[in-house]
Amino acid sequence: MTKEQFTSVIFPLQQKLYRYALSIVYDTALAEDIVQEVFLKLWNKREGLAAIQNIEAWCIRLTRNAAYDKLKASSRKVEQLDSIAYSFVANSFPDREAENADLIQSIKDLLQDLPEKQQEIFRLRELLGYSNAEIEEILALDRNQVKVNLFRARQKIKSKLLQLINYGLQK
Amino acid sequence: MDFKNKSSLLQKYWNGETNLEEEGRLKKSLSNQKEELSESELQYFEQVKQFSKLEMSPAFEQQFLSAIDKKEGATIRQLFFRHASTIAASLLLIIASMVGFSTWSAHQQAEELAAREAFETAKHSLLLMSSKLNKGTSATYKLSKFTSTQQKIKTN
Repeated sequence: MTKEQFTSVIFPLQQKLYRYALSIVYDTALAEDIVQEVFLKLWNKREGLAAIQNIEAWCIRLTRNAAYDKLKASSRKVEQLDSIAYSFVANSFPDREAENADLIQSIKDLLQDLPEKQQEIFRLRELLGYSNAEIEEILALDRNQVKVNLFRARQKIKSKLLQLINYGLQK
Repeated sequence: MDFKNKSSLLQKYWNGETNLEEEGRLKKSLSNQKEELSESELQYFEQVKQFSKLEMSPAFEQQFLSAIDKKEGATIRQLFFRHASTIAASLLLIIASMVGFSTWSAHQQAEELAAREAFETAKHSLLLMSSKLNKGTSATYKLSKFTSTQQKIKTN
């Protein structure tokens, strides 16, 4: 895969992968690091990318593994491109950052009580907009498992929302 | 979308029975008619919608591309140095092997020469000893012949 092909095939996935990573680690800087790491892995394996049938599903799986690895790792330092200094421009809108932090916290609150499988399905369906068939492929689950877990996830969220109405409490 | 449709679609949504197209219609209608939903439901759909709009730094693509360009340059240099070091190591190994072999060969030749010299010396000594023994045997034979002749004379 040439640099141009890489740019046209992989880069459009960037925001989806970022949101997915963000919905796992709930940290914008860490999510960006994860996407950077995933892109580096993809770049290093670019010769073999053409042989992969569903590259988007594969990228999602890579991102999930990287995100869970980061969560497991005690250190928050991310592998850099060898000795090359590599840093993102800091967000110059602190008010937007605060809004985003609230939003991320709300999503975290919604997801944290769900079992892992339901969380995964919720992320892919609600936050990334994948269909059930696509979720089946990404998570290697059968149709029924996806359907049942999506139903249970939404039911739990609904009852949580009802609790909010009844008690006006967050948890 | 009328109230009835919207309620049934919402019900279908919570039961996980909607498809993406229906969910799109539902979410679109929520922004127009908010009365049928509880505040927390509205907040939920709004949060999901807002989260789906979050984006990482727009500079990422450019920074990533320039970083991999630099990395490629670094990789080529690394490859050169890696190969240069491999060749140097191979040459060193060949020279060391040659020196080792010639030393071993000279040592082997010296050992062979010493062994041959020892063999020649031993052979010479044994031949000398053999000739002396042969002389002794001849003298003993003559002596025994003399004794037997003397015995015969005495007997007659």
